Amino acid sequence: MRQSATRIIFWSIAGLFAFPLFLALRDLPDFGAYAGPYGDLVLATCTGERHTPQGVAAVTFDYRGFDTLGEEFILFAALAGALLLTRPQEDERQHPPRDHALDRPVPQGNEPIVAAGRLMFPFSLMLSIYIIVHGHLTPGGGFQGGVLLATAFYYVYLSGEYQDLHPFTSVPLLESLKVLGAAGFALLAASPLAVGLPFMTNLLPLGREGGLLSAGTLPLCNLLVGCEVGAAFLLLIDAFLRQVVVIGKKKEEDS
Amino acid sequence: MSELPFLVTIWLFLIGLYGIATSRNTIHLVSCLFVAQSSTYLLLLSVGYRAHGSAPILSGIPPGAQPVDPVVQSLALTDIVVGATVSALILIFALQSHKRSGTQDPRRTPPMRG
Repeated sequence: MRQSATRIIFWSIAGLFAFPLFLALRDLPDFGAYAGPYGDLVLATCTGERHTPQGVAAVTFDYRGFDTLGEEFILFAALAGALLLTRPQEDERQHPPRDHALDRPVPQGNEPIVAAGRLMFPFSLMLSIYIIVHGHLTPGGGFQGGVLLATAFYYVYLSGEYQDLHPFTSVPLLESLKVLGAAGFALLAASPLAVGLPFMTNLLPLGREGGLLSAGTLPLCNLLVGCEVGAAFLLLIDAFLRQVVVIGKKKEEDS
Repeated sequence: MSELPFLVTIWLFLIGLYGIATSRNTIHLVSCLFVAQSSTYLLLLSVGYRAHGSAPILSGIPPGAQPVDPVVQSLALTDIVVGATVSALILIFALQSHKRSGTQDPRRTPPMRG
Protein backbone atom coordinates (compact mmCIF):
# COMPACT_ATOMS: atom_id res chain seq x y z
CA MET A 1 0.00 0.00 0.00
CA ARG A 2 2.74 2.43 0.93
CA GLN A 3 4.69 1.30 -2.15
CA SER A 4 1.80 2.07 -4.49
CA ALA A 5 1.32 5.49 -2.83
CA THR A 6 5.02 6.19 -3.40
CA ARG A 7 4.63 5.27 -7.07
CA ILE A 8 1.62 7.52 -7.57
CA ILE A 9 3.33 10.47 -5.90
CA PHE A 10 6.55 9.84 -7.83
CA TRP A 11 4.98 9.57 -11.29
CA SER A 12 2.72 12.60 -10.81
CA ILE A 13 5.67 14.77 -9.76
CA ALA A 14 7.89 13.20 -12.44
CA GLY A 15 5.28 13.98 -15.10
CA LEU A 16 5.17 17.61 -13.99
CA PHE A 17 8.95 17.72 -14.19
CA ALA A 18 9.41 15.79 -17.44
CA PHE A 19 7.27 18.10 -19.55
CA PRO A 20 9.29 21.31 -18.95
CA LEU A 21 12.46 19.24 -19.26
CA PHE A 22 11.34 18.04 -22.69
CA LEU A 23 10.46 21.63 -23.71
CA ALA A 24 13.89 22.81 -22.60
CA LEU A 25 15.69 20.01 -24.44
CA ARG A 26 13.57 20.44 -27.57
CA ASP A 27 14.92 23.93 -28.17
CA LEU A 28 18.49 22.67 -28.25
CA PRO A 29 20.03 22.39 -31.72
CA ASP A 30 18.81 19.25 -33.51
CA PHE A 31 20.61 15.99 -32.87
CA GLY A 32 23.51 15.74 -35.28
CA ALA A 33 23.51 19.46 -36.09
CA TYR A 34 26.20 20.63 -33.71
CA ALA A 35 27.07 24.20 -34.69
CA GLY A 36 28.80 25.65 -31.63
CA PRO A 37 32.09 27.35 -32.36
CA TYR A 38 33.88 26.25 -29.19
CA GLY A 39 34.70 22.67 -30.18
CA ASP A 40 35.69 23.67 -33.70
CA LEU A 41 37.97 26.40 -32.38
CA VAL A 42 39.65 23.95 -30.02
CA LEU A 43 40.27 21.52 -32.87
CA ALA A 44 41.47 24.29 -35.16
CA THR A 45 44.03 25.51 -32.64
CA CYS A 46 45.15 22.40 -30.73
CA THR A 47 47.61 21.23 -33.37
CA GLY A 48 49.15 24.68 -33.72
CA GLU A 49 49.18 25.74 -30.08
CA ARG A 50 49.68 22.43 -28.30
CA HIS A 51 51.15 20.13 -30.99
CA THR A 52 48.60 17.44 -30.21
CA PRO A 53 46.01 15.91 -32.56
CA GLN A 54 43.94 14.63 -29.62
CA GLY A 55 41.19 17.19 -29.10
CA VAL A 56 39.70 15.53 -26.03
CA ALA A 57 43.02 15.38 -24.16
CA ALA A 58 43.76 18.99 -25.10
CA VAL A 59 40.44 20.07 -23.59
CA THR A 60 40.76 17.85 -20.52
CA PHE A 61 44.26 18.82 -19.49
CA ASP A 62 44.80 22.18 -21.13
CA TYR A 63 41.91 24.29 -22.32
CA ARG A 64 39.69 23.17 -19.40
CA GLY A 65 42.48 21.83 -17.20
CA PHE A 66 41.13 23.75 -14.24
CA ASP A 67 37.96 21.61 -14.27
CA THR A 68 40.04 18.46 -14.38
CA LEU A 69 41.96 19.68 -11.34
CA GLY A 70 38.64 20.02 -9.49
CA GLU A 71 37.63 16.55 -10.67
CA GLU A 72 40.92 15.14 -9.37
CA PHE A 73 40.15 16.57 -5.96
CA ILE A 74 36.63 15.10 -6.00
CA LEU A 75 38.20 11.70 -6.75
CA PHE A 76 40.76 12.26 -4.00
CA ALA A 77 38.15 13.35 -1.43
CA ALA A 78 35.75 10.49 -2.28
CA LEU A 79 38.56 7.97 -1.93
CA ALA A 80 39.81 9.51 1.34
CA GLY A 81 36.24 9.28 2.67
CA ALA A 82 35.92 5.67 1.56
CA LEU A 83 39.20 4.68 3.22
CA LEU A 84 38.27 6.56 6.40
CA LEU A 85 34.96 4.68 6.61
CA THR A 86 36.51 1.25 6.06
CA ARG A 87 38.86 1.34 9.04
CA PRO A 88 38.08 -1.42 11.56
CA GLN A 89 35.40 -0.08 13.91
CA GLU A 90 35.44 -0.33 17.73
CA ASP A 91 33.48 -3.57 17.79
CA GLU A 92 35.48 -5.21 15.03
CA ARG A 93 38.82 -6.92 14.80
CA GLN A 94 40.99 -8.22 12.03
CA HIS A 95 41.46 -11.92 11.56
CA PRO A 96 43.68 -13.89 9.17
CA PRO A 97 42.29 -13.63 5.62
CA ARG A 98 39.40 -16.04 5.09
CA ASP A 99 38.34 -15.89 1.48
CA HIS A 100 35.47 -18.38 1.37
CA ALA A 101 32.01 -18.89 2.76
CA LEU A 102 32.05 -20.83 6.03
CA ASP A 103 29.25 -23.21 5.11
CA ARG A 104 30.76 -24.43 1.83
CA PRO A 105 33.84 -26.53 1.04
CA VAL A 106 36.85 -24.61 -0.27
CA PRO A 107 37.10 -25.22 -4.04
CA GLN A 108 40.41 -26.45 -5.37
CA GLY A 109 42.41 -24.30 -7.79
CA ASN A 110 40.78 -24.14 -11.19
CA GLU A 111 43.45 -24.43 -13.89
CA PRO A 112 41.61 -22.76 -16.81
CA ILE A 113 40.74 -19.74 -14.64
CA VAL A 114 44.33 -19.40 -13.42
CA ALA A 115 45.54 -19.68 -17.02
CA ALA A 116 43.07 -16.98 -18.14
CA GLY A 117 44.27 -14.72 -15.31
CA ARG A 118 47.92 -15.27 -16.24
CA LEU A 119 47.08 -14.36 -19.83
CA MET A 120 44.99 -11.28 -19.02
CA PHE A 121 47.22 -9.78 -16.31
CA PRO A 122 50.25 -8.89 -18.48
CA PHE A 123 47.99 -8.00 -21.40
CA SER A 124 45.89 -5.50 -19.41
CA LEU A 125 49.01 -4.10 -17.73
CA MET A 126 50.71 -3.45 -21.07
CA LEU A 127 47.54 -2.05 -22.62
CA SER A 128 46.99 0.32 -19.69
CA ILE A 129 50.55 1.66 -19.89
CA TYR A 130 50.16 2.09 -23.65
CA ILE A 131 46.88 3.99 -23.19
CA ILE A 132 48.35 6.26 -20.50
CA VAL A 133 51.54 7.23 -22.35
CA HIS A 134 49.78 7.68 -25.71
CA GLY A 135 46.95 9.70 -24.19
CA HIS A 136 47.93 12.82 -26.13
CA LEU A 137 48.07 11.00 -29.49
CA THR A 138 45.31 8.40 -29.60
CA PRO A 139 41.98 7.92 -27.80
CA GLY A 140 42.60 7.28 -24.13
CA GLY A 141 44.56 9.00 -21.42
CA GLY A 142 45.25 8.93 -17.72
CA PHE A 143 41.73 8.27 -16.52
CA GLN A 144 40.95 5.41 -18.88
CA GLY A 145 44.44 3.90 -18.59
CA GLY A 146 44.38 4.21 -14.80
CA VAL A 147 41.15 2.24 -14.53
CA LEU A 148 42.58 -0.42 -16.83
CA LEU A 149 45.76 -0.52 -14.74
CA ALA A 150 43.70 -1.37 -11.66
CA THR A 151 41.71 -3.93 -13.67
CA ALA A 152 44.93 -5.83 -14.41
CA PHE A 153 45.30 -6.44 -10.68
CA TYR A 154 41.63 -7.37 -10.35
CA TYR A 155 42.46 -10.33 -12.64
CA VAL A 156 45.02 -11.46 -10.05
CA TYR A 157 42.26 -11.64 -7.45
CA LEU A 158 39.65 -13.13 -9.76
CA SER A 159 41.89 -15.97 -10.85
CA GLY A 160 43.51 -16.51 -7.47
CA GLU A 161 43.05 -15.75 -3.81
CA TYR A 162 43.04 -12.66 -1.64
CA GLN A 163 46.60 -13.55 -0.58
CA ASP A 164 47.72 -13.32 -4.23
CA LEU A 165 46.43 -9.77 -4.56
CA HIS A 166 47.69 -8.67 -1.14
CA PRO A 167 51.36 -8.04 -2.10
CA PHE A 168 50.20 -5.58 -4.80
CA THR A 169 47.96 -3.53 -2.50
CA SER A 170 50.55 -2.15 -0.11
CA VAL A 171 48.59 0.77 1.33
CA PRO A 172 51.54 3.13 2.02
CA LEU A 173 52.86 2.67 -1.54
CA LEU A 174 49.45 3.12 -3.20
CA GLU A 175 48.63 6.11 -1.03
CA SER A 176 51.94 7.75 -1.93
CA LEU A 177 51.19 7.11 -5.63
CA LYS A 178 47.74 8.59 -5.23
CA VAL A 179 49.09 11.64 -3.41
CA LEU A 180 51.89 11.96 -5.99
CA GLY A 181 49.26 12.00 -8.73
CA ALA A 182 46.99 14.57 -7.09
CA ALA A 183 49.73 16.84 -5.70
CA GLY A 184 51.87 16.52 -8.82
CA PHE A 185 49.03 17.66 -11.04
CA ALA A 186 48.22 20.59 -8.73
CA LEU A 187 51.89 21.63 -8.52
CA LEU A 188 52.33 21.27 -12.29
CA ALA A 189 49.31 23.51 -12.76
CA ALA A 190 50.48 26.07 -10.19
CA SER A 191 54.18 26.16 -11.12
CA PRO A 192 53.82 28.87 -13.82
CA LEU A 193 52.55 31.20 -11.07
CA ALA A 194 56.07 31.21 -9.59
CA VAL A 195 57.48 32.87 -12.70
CA GLY A 196 54.57 35.27 -13.01
CA LEU A 197 52.67 33.45 -15.78
CA PRO A 198 48.97 32.51 -15.65
CA PHE A 199 47.80 29.29 -14.00
CA MET A 200 48.39 26.18 -16.13
CA THR A 201 50.61 27.88 -18.69
CA ASN A 202 52.56 25.30 -20.68
CA LEU A 203 56.21 25.69 -19.67
CA LEU A 204 57.59 22.52 -21.24
CA PRO A 205 58.81 22.42 -24.86
CA LEU A 206 55.98 21.39 -27.19
CA GLY A 207 58.06 18.99 -29.25
CA ARG A 208 57.30 17.58 -32.68
CA GLU A 209 53.65 16.77 -33.20
CA GLY A 210 52.93 13.04 -33.12
CA GLY A 211 55.99 12.19 -31.03
CA LEU A 212 55.73 10.37 -27.72
CA LEU A 213 57.38 13.32 -25.96
CA SER A 214 55.35 16.15 -27.40
CA ALA A 215 52.40 18.37 -26.51
CA GLY A 216 54.17 19.96 -23.52
CA THR A 217 52.62 19.05 -20.19
CA LEU A 218 49.92 16.73 -21.61
CA PRO A 219 51.86 13.43 -21.31
CA LEU A 220 53.01 14.39 -17.82
CA CYS A 221 49.42 15.15 -16.78
CA ASN A 222 48.26 11.82 -18.23
CA LEU A 223 51.00 10.00 -16.33
CA LEU A 224 50.16 11.69 -13.02
CA VAL A 225 46.42 11.14 -13.45
CA GLY A 226 47.05 7.53 -14.49
CA CYS A 227 49.06 7.01 -11.27
CA GLU A 228 46.32 8.52 -9.15
CA VAL A 229 43.37 6.73 -10.76
CA GLY A 230 45.13 3.35 -10.86
CA ALA A 231 46.17 3.64 -7.21
CA ALA A 232 42.70 4.90 -6.23
CA PHE A 233 40.86 1.96 -7.79
CA LEU A 234 43.33 -0.55 -6.31
CA LEU A 235 42.88 1.01 -2.87
CA LEU A 236 39.11 0.80 -3.31
CA ILE A 237 39.08 -2.90 -4.24
CA ASP A 238 41.41 -3.58 -1.33
CA ALA A 239 39.14 -1.65 1.06
CA PHE A 240 36.05 -3.56 -0.11
CA LEU A 241 37.82 -6.93 0.02
CA ARG A 242 39.20 -6.27 3.50
CA GLN A 243 35.66 -5.63 4.73
CA VAL A 244 34.67 -9.13 3.65
CA VAL A 245 37.84 -11.14 3.99
CA VAL A 246 39.81 -9.69 6.89
CA ILE A 247 37.51 -7.67 9.15
CA GLY A 248 34.93 -9.38 11.30
CA LYS A 249 32.83 -8.73 14.39
CA LYS A 250 34.53 -9.30 17.74
CA LYS A 251 31.70 -11.46 19.09
CA GLU A 252 31.77 -13.79 16.09
CA GLU A 253 35.45 -14.42 16.61
CA ASP A 254 35.16 -15.12 20.34
CA SER A 255 32.40 -17.69 20.07
CA MET B 1 13.54 11.59 -35.51
CA SER B 2 15.90 14.17 -34.09
CA GLU B 3 14.31 14.29 -30.63
CA LEU B 4 14.98 10.62 -29.87
CA PRO B 5 18.27 11.06 -27.92
CA PHE B 6 16.64 13.73 -25.77
CA LEU B 7 13.61 11.53 -25.09
CA VAL B 8 15.92 8.68 -24.10
CA THR B 9 17.80 11.10 -21.83
CA ILE B 10 14.58 12.07 -20.04
CA TRP B 11 13.51 8.42 -19.83
CA LEU B 12 16.84 7.29 -18.36
CA PHE B 13 16.81 10.12 -15.84
CA LEU B 14 13.25 9.45 -14.71
CA ILE B 15 13.61 5.67 -14.56
CA GLY B 16 16.76 6.14 -12.45
CA LEU B 17 14.90 8.50 -10.10
CA TYR B 18 11.98 6.05 -9.97
CA GLY B 19 14.36 3.30 -8.93
CA ILE B 20 15.82 5.54 -6.22
CA ALA B 21 12.38 6.54 -4.94
CA THR B 22 11.06 2.97 -4.66
CA SER B 23 14.29 1.13 -3.84
CA ARG B 24 14.26 -1.55 -1.13
CA ASN B 25 17.99 -2.20 -1.23
CA THR B 26 20.86 0.27 -0.92
CA ILE B 27 22.99 -1.44 -3.55
CA HIS B 28 20.07 -1.34 -5.97
CA LEU B 29 19.71 2.35 -5.06
CA VAL B 30 23.32 3.09 -6.02
CA SER B 31 22.83 1.29 -9.35
CA CYS B 32 19.72 3.42 -9.98
CA LEU B 33 21.70 6.56 -9.19
CA PHE B 34 24.21 5.47 -11.82
CA VAL B 35 21.40 4.89 -14.37
CA ALA B 36 20.07 8.40 -13.67
CA GLN B 37 23.58 9.77 -14.08
CA SER B 38 24.13 7.93 -17.35
CA SER B 39 21.39 10.12 -18.84
CA THR B 40 23.82 13.03 -18.51
CA TYR B 41 26.44 11.16 -20.59
CA LEU B 42 23.87 10.64 -23.31
CA LEU B 43 22.75 14.28 -23.19
CA LEU B 44 26.32 15.60 -23.32
CA LEU B 45 27.36 13.37 -26.19
CA SER B 46 24.21 14.04 -28.21
CA VAL B 47 24.57 17.81 -27.80
CA GLY B 48 28.03 17.66 -29.36
CA TYR B 49 27.22 15.10 -32.06
CA ARG B 50 27.46 16.05 -35.70
CA ALA B 51 25.79 13.85 -38.30
CA HIS B 52 28.39 11.54 -39.94
CA GLY B 53 31.08 13.32 -37.90
CA SER B 54 34.49 11.82 -37.18
CA ALA B 55 36.24 11.43 -33.82
CA PRO B 56 37.79 14.66 -32.49
CA ILE B 57 41.28 13.22 -32.93
CA LEU B 58 42.85 14.88 -35.92
CA SER B 59 45.54 12.37 -36.85
CA GLY B 60 44.48 9.98 -39.58
CA ILE B 61 41.06 11.41 -40.40
CA PRO B 62 40.31 12.15 -44.06
CA PRO B 63 40.60 15.80 -45.11
CA GLY B 64 37.32 17.67 -45.03
CA ALA B 65 35.82 15.41 -42.35
CA GLN B 66 33.72 17.18 -39.75
CA PRO B 67 34.86 16.17 -36.25
CA VAL B 68 32.35 16.13 -33.39
CA ASP B 69 32.70 18.41 -30.36
CA PRO B 70 35.65 17.40 -28.12
CA VAL B 71 34.50 19.59 -25.22
CA VAL B 72 31.42 17.52 -24.34
CA GLN B 73 33.45 14.31 -24.66
CA SER B 74 35.88 15.67 -22.12
CA LEU B 75 32.94 16.61 -19.86
CA ALA B 76 31.49 13.09 -20.19
CA LEU B 77 34.89 11.70 -19.18
CA THR B 78 34.86 13.88 -16.05
CA ASP B 79 31.28 12.81 -15.39
CA ILE B 80 32.08 9.09 -15.55
CA VAL B 81 35.11 9.30 -13.26
CA VAL B 82 33.28 11.38 -10.64
CA GLY B 83 30.25 9.07 -10.88
CA ALA B 84 32.34 5.95 -10.34
CA THR B 85 34.21 7.26 -7.30
CA VAL B 86 31.14 8.78 -5.67
CA SER B 87 29.26 5.49 -6.21
CA ALA B 88 32.13 3.69 -4.47
CA LEU B 89 31.83 6.09 -1.53
CA ILE B 90 28.04 5.55 -1.27
CA LEU B 91 28.54 1.76 -1.48
CA ILE B 92 30.91 1.98 1.49
CA PHE B 93 28.21 3.92 3.37
CA ALA B 94 25.71 1.17 2.46
CA LEU B 95 28.11 -1.50 3.70
CA GLN B 96 28.72 0.19 7.04
CA SER B 97 25.02 0.91 7.46
CA HIS B 98 24.26 -2.76 6.81
CA LYS B 99 26.76 -3.75 9.47
CA ARG B 100 25.18 -1.37 12.01
CA SER B 101 21.51 -2.04 11.37
CA GLY B 102 21.49 -5.49 9.80
CA THR B 103 19.30 -4.39 6.89
CA GLN B 104 19.89 -3.02 3.41
CA ASP B 105 16.40 -1.62 3.05
CA PRO B 106 16.69 2.18 3.27
CA ARG B 107 13.14 2.31 4.69
CA ARG B 108 13.99 0.04 7.60
CA THR B 109 17.37 1.55 8.44
CA PRO B 110 17.04 3.19 11.84
CA PRO B 111 17.97 6.88 12.10
CA MET B 112 21.70 7.48 12.52
CA ARG B 113 23.06 8.80 15.78
CA GLY B 114 26.40 10.54 15.82
